[in-house]
Amino acid sequence: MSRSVAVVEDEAAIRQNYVEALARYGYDARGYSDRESALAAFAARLPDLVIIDVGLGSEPEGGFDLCRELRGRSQALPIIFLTARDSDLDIISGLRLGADDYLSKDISLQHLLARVVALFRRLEVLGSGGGAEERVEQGDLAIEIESMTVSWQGQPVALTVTEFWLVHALARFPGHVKNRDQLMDAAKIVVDAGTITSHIKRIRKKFHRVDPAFDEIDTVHGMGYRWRQ
Amino acid sequence: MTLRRQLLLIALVLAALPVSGWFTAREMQTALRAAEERAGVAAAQPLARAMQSWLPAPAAGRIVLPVHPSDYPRSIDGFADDWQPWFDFAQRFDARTTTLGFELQLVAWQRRLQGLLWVRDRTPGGGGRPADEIQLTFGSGWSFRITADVAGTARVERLDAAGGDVPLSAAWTRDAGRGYRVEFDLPLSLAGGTLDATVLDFGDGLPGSRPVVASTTTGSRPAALRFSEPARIAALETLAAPGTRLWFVDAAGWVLAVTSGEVEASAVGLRGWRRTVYRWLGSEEGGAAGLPEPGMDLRLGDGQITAALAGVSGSRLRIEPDGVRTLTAVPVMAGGTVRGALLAESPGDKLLLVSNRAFAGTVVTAVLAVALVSIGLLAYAGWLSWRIRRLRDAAERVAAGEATALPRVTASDEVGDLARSFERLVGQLDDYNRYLQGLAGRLAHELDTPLSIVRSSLDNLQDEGLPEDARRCVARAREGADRLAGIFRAMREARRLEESVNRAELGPVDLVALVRACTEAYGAVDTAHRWAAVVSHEAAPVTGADELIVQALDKLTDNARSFTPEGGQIELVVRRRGRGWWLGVRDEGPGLPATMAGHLFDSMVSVRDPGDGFHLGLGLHVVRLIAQGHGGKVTARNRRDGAGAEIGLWLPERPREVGTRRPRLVSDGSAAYTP
Repeated sequence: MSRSVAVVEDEAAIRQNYVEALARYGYDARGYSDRESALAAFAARLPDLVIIDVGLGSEPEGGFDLCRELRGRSQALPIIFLTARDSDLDIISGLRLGADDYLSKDISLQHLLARVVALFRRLEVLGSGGGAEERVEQGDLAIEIESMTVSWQGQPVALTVTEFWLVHALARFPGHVKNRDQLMDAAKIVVDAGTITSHIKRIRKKFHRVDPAFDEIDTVHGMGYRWRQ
Repeated sequence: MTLRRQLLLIALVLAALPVSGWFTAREMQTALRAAEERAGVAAAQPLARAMQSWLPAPAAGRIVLPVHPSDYPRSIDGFADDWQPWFDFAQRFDARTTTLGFELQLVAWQRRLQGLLWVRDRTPGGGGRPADEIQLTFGSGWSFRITADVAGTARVERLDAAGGDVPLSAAWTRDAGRGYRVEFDLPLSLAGGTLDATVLDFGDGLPGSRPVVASTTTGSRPAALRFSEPARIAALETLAAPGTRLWFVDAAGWVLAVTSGEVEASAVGLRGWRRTVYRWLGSEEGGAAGLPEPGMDLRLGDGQITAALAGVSGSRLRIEPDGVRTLTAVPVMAGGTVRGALLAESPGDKLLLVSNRAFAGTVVTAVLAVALVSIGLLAYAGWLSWRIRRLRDAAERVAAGEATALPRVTASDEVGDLARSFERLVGQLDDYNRYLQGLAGRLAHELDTPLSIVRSSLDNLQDEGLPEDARRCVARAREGADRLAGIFRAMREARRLEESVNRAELGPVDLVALVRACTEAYGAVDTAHRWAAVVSHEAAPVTGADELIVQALDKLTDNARSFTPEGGQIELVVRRRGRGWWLGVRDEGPGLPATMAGHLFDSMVSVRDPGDGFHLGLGLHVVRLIAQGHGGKVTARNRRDGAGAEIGLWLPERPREVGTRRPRLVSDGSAAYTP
C-alpha cells in the first residue's frame, strides 16, 4: 500500500502541483485548502506525512495551529512546514512545534521529494527498532545515519532533517572548514548565506539545551564553519 | 556673505551715530566758547576802563625806575647776594666816558625803599677806598651824599640841610677789582615820585679835579619812580567778582597789582578720560603753562597778556587737574595807546562745563550703547545662525542617514517654524520610506507565491514525457524562473540583513585578530591574488558583531578581487582613526571613477561594465548598512599612490546607539546577489 501524504496549502495551483508530483512518485497524495477541511479529513485517519503551509487562507498562522493539533494526536507523524516568510522559520523553531523540517517555498520539487523520502526512511528505521545501522561517533557526538538522529553525551538532540544534514556534513570530517556553499549542498537546499548562519545558530541552541557547555561548532571568519577536533 | 558679516556691517553703520553726535557737539562747543569769550571780554572792559586812572603818571622824557614790591627785606651790608633773583631787572646807567657806570635796583619792602647800586669803576682810586661820591636826591626834597669809609662802612650826609636826622642808612663792599656795591635803605614815605642818583668819580682821588659823572637824570629831569601802590591793589580788589582773580599789568607786562582772592575751581576736577574727552573736543586753548602764584614781583608772559598788550582782547580756556578756568585779557588804554592790561582769571563757565560734561556723558553713553547694541546684534546673529546651522547639520545628518529625526525645537519664531516644517517633512519622508519598505516586503512575498506556482509547474512538466523541443523550452523557462527566484532571494537577504543589523548582539571584537584570520582564509581560497594584512596596532578592540563585520569584509574583498588583476596584491588594513578604527581593503584595480563619488554605497549602483554579467551592485550597500549599524561610516577613495582604490568602514570603539539607525531611503532589497 502506498504511503499517504497530505498537502495543506491554500494556493490551489501549488497544492495541485505538489499533489501531482507526489502522486507521480507513487504516494497517495491529497490536498487540503484550509485547516478545517484538513482536520475533517484527518479525523478518521491520519496520513503518513503532512506538508503544511504556515499561512492558510484567512488564518495567517493557521499552519501552526494545525501542526500543534496533529502533534497532539501523534508524536510520530512526520510534519514538514513550508513557508514563504523567512521570519517564520524562527517562529517555528521558537514555538518548538516539533516539525521534522521547515523549508522555504522556493525549494524545488525534487528537493521537497528528497525530504519526503528521507523522512519516510527515518520512520522505517525507527520502526524496525534500529540495530546495525551506520553510525558516526565524534567525541560526545553520535550520529545514526539511517534514522537521522543525533545524540550528545548520550542524550538525543531533536534536529530537523536540514539541521541533521548540516551537523552530519560538519562532524564527518572534524577540523575541516565547510563553507556555506558546501553546507547548502549537503543540506540539499538552495538558500542564501544568511540562512545558513541562522541554521547554525539554531543547531547551537539545540545542543545548548542538552549541554550548556557545548562549543563544538566553530566559526571560521571569511570561510565558514568547522566541527572542532 | 554670512549672516554674521551682514550684521557686523549694520553695526558699523550704527557707529556713525555717535560720530555725528561728536561733530554736532564740537560745533556746539565752539559756539558756546565764542559766546563765553564775548561775555568775558564785555565784562572785563569796564574794569579796564576803571583801572585807567590807576596807571602811573606818565613819565615823559624821564627814565622810569620800577620799584618792585618785595616780600623779604635786604640786609644793608653791601653784599648783593640777597638781590640775586633781581639782577635781570636792574637798569644800567653809564657815564659819557667808558670808565664809569652803575646798575640800579629798587624794591619796596613793607613801608621801606631799598636800593642797590653796583658801580663799575675803572679808576677806583687809592687809599683802600673809592674816592667816589654818590648823591641821591628824592622828589620829596630829601638829598643825601654817600661816601666810602675806610672801615667798609659808608658815611651818609644830608645835602638838603646840614645837620639833623639822617633817615637813610647805607653800606658798601668792594667788588674785586671792578668796582664796588652800595646798599641803602629809606622809609618809603620820604621817597616821593622821582629819584636822581648820581655817581661822581674823582679818579685818583685828587680833590678839586673834575669828576666823571653817571646819573639817572636825563637833561634836568630826574628818573620817575613807579610803585605798585597798595591803593591800586585795594581798587582792584573792589572790582574783582567773588571767585575771580584780577591781574593788572603795565605795558611791559610787570604786575602792578593782583587781587588776593582765590580762584574758584570748577566743581569737579577733570582727570582721566574726561580730560581726554575735553581735549578731543578742542576745549583747551593756548599753551600748557599756567599762571604763576600771585605776587607783585612778576612780569607775566602769558600769551593772552601779550595779545592784550598788542591791543587784542580775548580769552582762553585752561583745563587743569583741579578744574577748568578762563583767562580773559583786555588792554587798558590811555591817550589812545596801550598802557597796560587787565587779566581776569575766573572759574570755567558753569554752563559750558555742565554742557560739556553732559556731552561727554552723552558721547560715552552713545559709544557704550552702540557697542552694546552691536555686541547684542552680533550675539543675536550668532545665535540665529547657530540655530540655522544646527538645523542644517541635523537635516544633512538625516539626509546622510546618520540620524533618523531632527532635534525637537520649541522656539515659537520663524526658525522654530522652519525646524518644525523640516521635522514634519522628515516624518513624512520616514513614513513614506516605511511604506516603501513594507511594500518591498509585501511585494517579495506576493511575488514568491506565483513564482512557486511557476516553478513547481515547470518541475512537474519536466517529468512528463515531453518532446525534445518542448523540453528545451521548459529548461529555458526554468532558467528564467530560477533567476527570478535568485533576485527575490537577494532582496530577502538584504531585508533580513537590515533586521539582523538592528538586532545584532554586540560583543568585544578584535579587528586585528579578525583581519589576520580573514586574510589567511581568503588567501587559502583565492590563490590568484596575493593577500596581506596591514595593521598599525597589535590589537584593535571594538564593540560589534563579528559576523556582520566579516560579512562586510567579504563584500569588500569580493569587490577588490573582481577589480584586481591576477597576481595583484589585496591588502586588508586596520588603522587607528579618531576614536575608532578604520577597517578597509586596498586593491590594485583601476580605481574609482570620479562620477560615482557619493553614490558608491547606494544600492543597485555598480561601477562594473554592463558586459560583466548580471550584478545587482548591492555589496557596498551592505557594507554601509553594517557600518551604520555599528554607528560607523563608510569611506571610499583612490589610493594616494594611484595604484587602485581603498574602500572600507570606520567603526567607533563604542557604538553610540545601535538600532536607532536606519538605512537611507528605501531599502530596495538587497544584498549581494552574486550568481
